[in-house]
Amino acid sequence: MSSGSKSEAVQGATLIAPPFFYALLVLAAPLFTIVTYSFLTDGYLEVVRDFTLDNYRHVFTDPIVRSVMMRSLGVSMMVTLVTVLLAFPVAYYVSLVVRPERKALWLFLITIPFWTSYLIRVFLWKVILGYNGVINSSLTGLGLIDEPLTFILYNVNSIVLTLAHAYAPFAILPIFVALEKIDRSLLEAGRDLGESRLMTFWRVTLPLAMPGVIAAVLIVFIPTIGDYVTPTVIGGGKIPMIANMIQVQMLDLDNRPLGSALAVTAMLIVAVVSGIFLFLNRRFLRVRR
Amino acid sequence: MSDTRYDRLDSAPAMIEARDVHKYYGEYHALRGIDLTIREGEFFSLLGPSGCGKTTLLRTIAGFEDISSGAVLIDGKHMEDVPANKRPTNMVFQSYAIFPHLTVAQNVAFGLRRDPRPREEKAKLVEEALNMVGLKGYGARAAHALSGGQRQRVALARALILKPKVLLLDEPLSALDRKMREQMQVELIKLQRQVGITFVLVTHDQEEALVMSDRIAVMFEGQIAQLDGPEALYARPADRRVADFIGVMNFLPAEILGETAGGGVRVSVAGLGEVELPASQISRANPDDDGPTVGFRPETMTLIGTGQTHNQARETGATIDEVVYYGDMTYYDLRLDGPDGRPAQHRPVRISMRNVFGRDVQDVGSRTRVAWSPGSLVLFR
Repeated sequence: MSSGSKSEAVQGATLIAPPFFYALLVLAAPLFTIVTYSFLTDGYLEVVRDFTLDNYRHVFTDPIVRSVMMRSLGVSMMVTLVTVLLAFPVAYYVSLVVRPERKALWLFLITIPFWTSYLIRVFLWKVILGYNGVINSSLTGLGLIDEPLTFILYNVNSIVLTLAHAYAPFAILPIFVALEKIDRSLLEAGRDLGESRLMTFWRVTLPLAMPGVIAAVLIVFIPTIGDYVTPTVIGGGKIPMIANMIQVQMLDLDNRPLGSALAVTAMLIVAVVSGIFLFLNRRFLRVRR
Repeated sequence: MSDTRYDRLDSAPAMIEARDVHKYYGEYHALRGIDLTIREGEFFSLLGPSGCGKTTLLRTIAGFEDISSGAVLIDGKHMEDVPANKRPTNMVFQSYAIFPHLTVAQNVAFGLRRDPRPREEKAKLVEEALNMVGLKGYGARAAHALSGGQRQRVALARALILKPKVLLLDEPLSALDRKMREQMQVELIKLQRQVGITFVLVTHDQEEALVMSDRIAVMFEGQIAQLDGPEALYARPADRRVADFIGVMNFLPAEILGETAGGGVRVSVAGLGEVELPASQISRANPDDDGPTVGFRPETMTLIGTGQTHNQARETGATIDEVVYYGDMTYYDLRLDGPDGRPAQHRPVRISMRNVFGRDVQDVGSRTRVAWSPGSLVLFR
């Protein structure tokens, strides 16, 4: 019996070994390095192996870091809100209005933006919003404005717009899947029991779609807080977010310990915010059959 | 008892009226001129094979489907512009449609949101509704943790708590196992008599329809083939499709010898010989039948010499082709003798004998005699 369970244990270990080493190599090792760096001292062009908490002290007391951190949080919350609010009607339309045989085509169309690189899509927004961009030249051409609008580029709104566009499919797809899983007779039951379409949506459709909405929120929120390209290109480098600050510390200033401490802190903030969000939504996340 | 109930229902006011209802799905003609009246307090069934339009008809009553032409009236009111949520009907769905994100009590109370009564009173109503369907104390349970039979009961309580004028049931028992189904059939009948609400049941199970209904509409291809009480439907099917669909019926080729006074006919039936049938025993054949046939139910023919007395008029010789033992019943497949004493050339007929105490099951291949009477035959021409 014991030899049997032993060989079973060996078999089990063999089975999990590849994913385990993979996880260790590509997930745990870089993370571990960053965490370690964040507790070390910065030397000139090198990292000195002296334990210190100075990096974190700097991160939590420096007003510039705080304002960049708050901006990053604010921008990603805005992006998440805008993206999910815009994604829900699209997902709803594809799931409940589009005929079943057309759904695959619609999903395919939604993924079209992914065919070009993220960087190019961001640059295209600059082309659209810029001083001599599509919007300004159209409006000038139509005689609606005398000189180009300057408030549509290089600010937080344009960053939010660009990111919301970039992450739209990530929000649409999980909401679509959650809506697809809803038994249509539940919606008829809502109507049958006396509720209007709107109230049926509120009392049946929305609660049952919430797991998809929660997934969409996390999928959009977590990567946008660390987005680097959009603030650089669309923000014109004047409104940095946390990723830009990390980049400056890591590469331009070669202060890897401080950069690591910033990275770890940003990660913790994301974890805490996501955790609070999940806690608030635990009612919608119970296992259902 | 069922007769008096039937008479009482016959004089009851109409609850649902369908007048020449047509429904098209694109080119497909799903309902082809449905005319029917369902009376107040009636347990009414729509019976038919899948695709016959019975569920479509139910959904037009509920308001989930628009009709292409004709009219549906509930309690005397035209339903044309009345949406599903404003109709005095509630539905028990085939999948039960229990809201998985709510508890049992929340499910049952779902339709009470706009009820102006205070919260405590509503809670009491929910409790009563759960008691009525035998789910006392289940209120706090999560709906997704219930068994099929329990979901069914929640769906019933959720619909009945709103005191609808009509309860619509869309194949409510098809997902249950046999024992549970039979139990729920009886419970549904009792519940219907208790609450007195008009029930409209959709089913493809003829046994279920016969057991539960006051009247049954048998549907084929978007039309009502026959609308009758269970006994009439079983004993006097209006056409051969109905006869085939309800229960077991044996069909023997027949030859019409002549008409008699009062619309009856004299026929020669393979294996049974010459009989005279009155107009009341003549029904329509299927369009694709080749020639007239005579049908009879398995229990209307008796094996002679098995200890069971009978008072039937006619006897015929037969050979036992197959014996199927069912415990309480035995089915015999017989080849009836032709006029020359040899087996008539037709498919064997099936008769059923109750296995009363002291009766032996007969052997395959043995010769026997059967008794029958012309009164139990139906001619399809």
